[in-house]
Amino acid sequence: MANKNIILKVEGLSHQFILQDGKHLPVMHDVSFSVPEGEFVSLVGPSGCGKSTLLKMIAGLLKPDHGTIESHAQKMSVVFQNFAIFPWLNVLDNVEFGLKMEGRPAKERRRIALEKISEVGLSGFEDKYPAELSGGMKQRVGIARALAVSPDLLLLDEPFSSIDALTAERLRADLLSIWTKYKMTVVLVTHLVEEAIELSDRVIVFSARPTTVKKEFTIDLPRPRSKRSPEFFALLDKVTADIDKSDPLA
Amino acid sequence: MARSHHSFKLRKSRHYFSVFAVFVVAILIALVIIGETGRVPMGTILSGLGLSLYRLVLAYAISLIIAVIIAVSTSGTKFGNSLIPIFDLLQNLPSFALIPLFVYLFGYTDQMAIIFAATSILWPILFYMIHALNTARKDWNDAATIFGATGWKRLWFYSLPVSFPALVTGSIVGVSVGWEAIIGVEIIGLSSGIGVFLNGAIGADKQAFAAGLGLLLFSVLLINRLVWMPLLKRTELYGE
Repeated sequence: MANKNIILKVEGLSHQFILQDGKHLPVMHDVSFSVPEGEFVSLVGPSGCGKSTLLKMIAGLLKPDHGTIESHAQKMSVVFQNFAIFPWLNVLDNVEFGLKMEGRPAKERRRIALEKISEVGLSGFEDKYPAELSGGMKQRVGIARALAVSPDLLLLDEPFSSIDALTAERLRADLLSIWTKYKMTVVLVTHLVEEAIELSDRVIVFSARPTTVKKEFTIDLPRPRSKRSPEFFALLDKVTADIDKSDPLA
Repeated sequence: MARSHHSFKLRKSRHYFSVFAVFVVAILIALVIIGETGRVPMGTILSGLGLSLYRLVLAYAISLIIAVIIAVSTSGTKFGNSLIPIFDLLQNLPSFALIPLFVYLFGYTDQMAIIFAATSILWPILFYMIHALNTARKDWNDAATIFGATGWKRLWFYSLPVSFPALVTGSIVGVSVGWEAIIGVEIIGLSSGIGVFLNGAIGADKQAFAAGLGLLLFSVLLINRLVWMPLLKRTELYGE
């Protein structure tokens, strides 16, 4: 891993929100980590600690007060927690959206979109609108849309937290096979330690707010990982022990 | 379940269509009877109506373009938020109080009527669109940004679709205000248009007045049925 190129480097990131009453709320303090090319990294931490804020900063949607984010990704893509697919577009048009913004020719867009729709198991649903889809299907559209632009850095913001457990389980398996196929770098934000260990090469644990990197764990269990194996449980215990249980929103 | 929902919608749609058809046929029969017995100048009514409609369509197009430009360029910004009280103040000005100003600037001309009506139609479209853009789901906005929607592509593929239901509703309200403005300004100071015809007919020829009013109602209904209803139907797609 050491000889791999660093695709993302976060250094000394600090940020605070200004609340409506004018008070300052520090959410992040001196956050630093780096992600080598092709790695699957999960960011875990207590609810409200600022993981999603950090992901937004990496995606360029939010500017940090201090610190730098160095990205060497040619193309970055995001899968959103609440899918964020456009209700006025059908499945095919949603998946084509990024390609259309890139100005790709219609035929090429169609070919790529159909390929990605098939990869996420939605063939036959191309002309359906989001209102006609289940939560799991919507997130499949979100994943297909993100993959369509061929990202070398894929950001996932709690992508399975808005869907039922069974569907989430299947989606995790599908995501893993997609990642195995394309080997793009993945940064996953999740509050589920089990999910992080199941999927990742490395888990970065964040403290409660103002968040900072508390610990990093390298997960070298062979894939596919059995969540019932003693090794998995041992890791689960180890990582969970480092998560700050105090809910900063309480 | 889906099938019964579909058949309910179909029945509902057939019901609306029947009501509309009965209404239209009744108006047409009334117009034919009036035209036959009273030798109503249908040509004058139709040309007046056509002229008013032309003024309305032009005023609506101007309002729509201006509303979209203002809403897209100001919504979600601090500057835009600071403009909202000013817009609110302006839209609360009684529009007819501004007629002398428009007459002073443009005289009793078509341009005056069109610009006057445009200033009335603008506000509902603008406010509805600003509201739609400001309250659109944050992650849709983020997704549009992440996937590279900028410039005219952002306008065409994100801002307009995300505010489409609001644009339709704002347009329906705006056009009804626009009819008032056009007919009002025609009565006050123009020499042509359905407003001028109705104003002249009320004292001289009651049948002609009834025919003019009937045709006006007919065209309002037709616009509603052929333009707004299909657009409203399309907004159903925008639900999640």
